[in-house]
Amino acid sequence: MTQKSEVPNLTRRELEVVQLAGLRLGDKEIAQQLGLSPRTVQNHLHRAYEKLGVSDRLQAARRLSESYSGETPTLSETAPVETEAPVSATLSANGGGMRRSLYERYVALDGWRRPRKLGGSLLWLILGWSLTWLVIAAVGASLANPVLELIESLR
Amino acid sequence: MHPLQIVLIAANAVGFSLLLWKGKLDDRLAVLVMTLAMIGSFVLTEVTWNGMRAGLLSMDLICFLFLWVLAERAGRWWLVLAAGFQLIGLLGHFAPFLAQERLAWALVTLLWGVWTLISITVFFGVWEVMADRRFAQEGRDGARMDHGGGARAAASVD
Repeated sequence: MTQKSEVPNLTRRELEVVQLAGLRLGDKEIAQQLGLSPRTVQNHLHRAYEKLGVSDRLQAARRLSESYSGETPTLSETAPVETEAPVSATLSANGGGMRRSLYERYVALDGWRRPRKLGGSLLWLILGWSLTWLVIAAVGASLANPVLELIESLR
Repeated sequence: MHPLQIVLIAANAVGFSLLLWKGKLDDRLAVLVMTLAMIGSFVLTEVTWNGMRAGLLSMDLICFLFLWVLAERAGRWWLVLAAGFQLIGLLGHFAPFLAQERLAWALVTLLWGVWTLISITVFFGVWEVMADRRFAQEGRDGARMDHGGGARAAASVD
């Protein structure tokens, strides 16, 4: 078994938990699959975070995938790992790449995940949105009219 | 019935069902309001007053007001966008008064356009609701998020 110097030395359980977390399973779902309690799953996850030097489950899965790409994962326990495929491969097989990208953009919105009120109301956003589309419609109509007249004159 | 009408109704049925399934109370209320407004529009389409399509106007007005209130309560982008489109539809009823001849055709076109855009917005709403649920779920499950999040795990006990 080859080993890269930067490959973290995760236990079998930590590896399993991170891989399942990378598939977007919640702690309860992971716990059910592995026959553990959700709290134990959290503990495994956070130990894995520390070893991988990351701060959330998606980063952990990605980091693991990068470390093990093209290699068999290194384990600190002797028991074999049932899931040998890299997390990234499993994610893309499930179409997870696209969803992750959109979701990450959503998370990155920070305070704009919810529309911001101005003067205690969202009316300014609603009016702005309407106005934008009215301008688009007006410009579209003003461009379409001459074209339609031109087509009519050519007939 | 026009083919586009059938397509839009089918799209609305799918989008509304998903919102009812995945959404919270305000999302479901918005679905209820829009469904009732749609049914009301079909029923009251022939009701006119002083040359205005009063039935459609009243339905659009009620729908806009409800969507606005729900947007304020729920703080959802899709409700803000849907309310904005609904406002365009509402304002469209007054277009024939501005230029009777040139814009007489515009109302029907506008209403269909608005309906199409709202239908697309409903699917955006489904995505927003699911992303919000997942964000909340990850926070509850103890995964620390880069952009704010939930509780951290306790001491190790295996």
